[in-house]
Amino acid sequence: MKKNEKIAIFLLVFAAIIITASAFEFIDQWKDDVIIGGPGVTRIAQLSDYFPELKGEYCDTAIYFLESDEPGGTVFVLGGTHPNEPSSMLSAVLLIENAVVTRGRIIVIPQANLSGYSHNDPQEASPRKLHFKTASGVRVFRYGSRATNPIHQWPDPDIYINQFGQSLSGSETRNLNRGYPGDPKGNYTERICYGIMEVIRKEAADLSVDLHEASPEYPVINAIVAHERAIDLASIAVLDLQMEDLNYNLEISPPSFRGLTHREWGDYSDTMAILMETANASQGRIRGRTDEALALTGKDKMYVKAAELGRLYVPYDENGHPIEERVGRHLAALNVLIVNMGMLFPEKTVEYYGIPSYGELMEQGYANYLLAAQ
Amino acid sequence: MLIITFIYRLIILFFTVLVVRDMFKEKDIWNQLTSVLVIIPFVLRLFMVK
Repeated sequence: MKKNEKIAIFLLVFAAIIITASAFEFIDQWKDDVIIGGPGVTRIAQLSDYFPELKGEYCDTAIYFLESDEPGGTVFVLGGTHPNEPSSMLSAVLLIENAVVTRGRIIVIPQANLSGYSHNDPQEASPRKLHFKTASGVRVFRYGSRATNPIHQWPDPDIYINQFGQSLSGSETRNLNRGYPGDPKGNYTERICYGIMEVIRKEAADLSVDLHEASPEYPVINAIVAHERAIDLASIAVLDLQMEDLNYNLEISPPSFRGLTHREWGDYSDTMAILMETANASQGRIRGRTDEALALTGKDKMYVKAAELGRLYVPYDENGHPIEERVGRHLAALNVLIVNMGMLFPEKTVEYYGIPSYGELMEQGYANYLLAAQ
Repeated sequence: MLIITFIYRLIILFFTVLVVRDMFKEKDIWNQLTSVLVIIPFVLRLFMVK
């Protein structure tokens, strides 16, 4: 055997070791997160129960029902549209594991784009997992990508032309919050969108809330974006939240910006559609070191500097924006929306207990409200 | 979509075999190392792991 052939064999063995090690890491990201149904969960369905074509697909995500015997309104909460925005899923998980509904019902999807949780964005140095130390052990949740996994949907077109003829960048074809109202014959992501629309329509959700995060330099942040049918409710909620020292910007859903939840949920169903944003440095463009700590604490000296230069849309200091604050904001705003919906439309009242206040979350920490892993 | 994916994977397999074959013919170790860098993502894609 020639020398170069021996080297080639050695290099192939070397490649096999790297391929095997990295494959284990990638495949580990496919494993489901443990989300425990709390005392208020009455049943768990799947997205494919509403759109059977998703049966057997990786994206067939779980839907948690928190129902009471007392008639009232229906609130739909969507977490995990973008799996790199952790307060979105974590707020939904806290609802599932703690809330008990005494009037009406709350329907929660914690991981809307389940496929997005099965991978990371390349070249972003994102953490793979988020860990929370509880009294009974460590709970782990995945930190995913903004978009659907390319192993589930490919190839990206050069330009994504959405269902309304609008041109977007090619990768937006895998962005769940660009594909509404969905298309039963469309691409993988558009079919997930269609399934979620079917949940809203078939369950006749009165209020539907999509939870998000945004980078601190993004103008729409610490914000509530409302469809025109929900603008009265959102306006009252913003005023109420100010009374609790939680400042929110109120935005009306732009009628010409198509494919997003706050627009299409309202246009293609009878629900009052709302999207909410908190500040997440780990998805920002000017962040420094990117790791789990950044995702959970938001502490980043580059953002402190940017705030000093007046370049951000949220206050930013060395305390960052911890996950407790971001989850607390989402849950406080959701509560205010639900309470005010009951005042505006008494027949749509939803009442529940078990959810910590913003102050309690800040004091006790997020992990304190997670249930014991089985 | 399934047919496109199948053809896509056949193309990846074809190029992976070509690169491996070239690696055994190549005399320059740096070019052989470059081949390894190509093979790793190709194999992960071939098995639709990444």
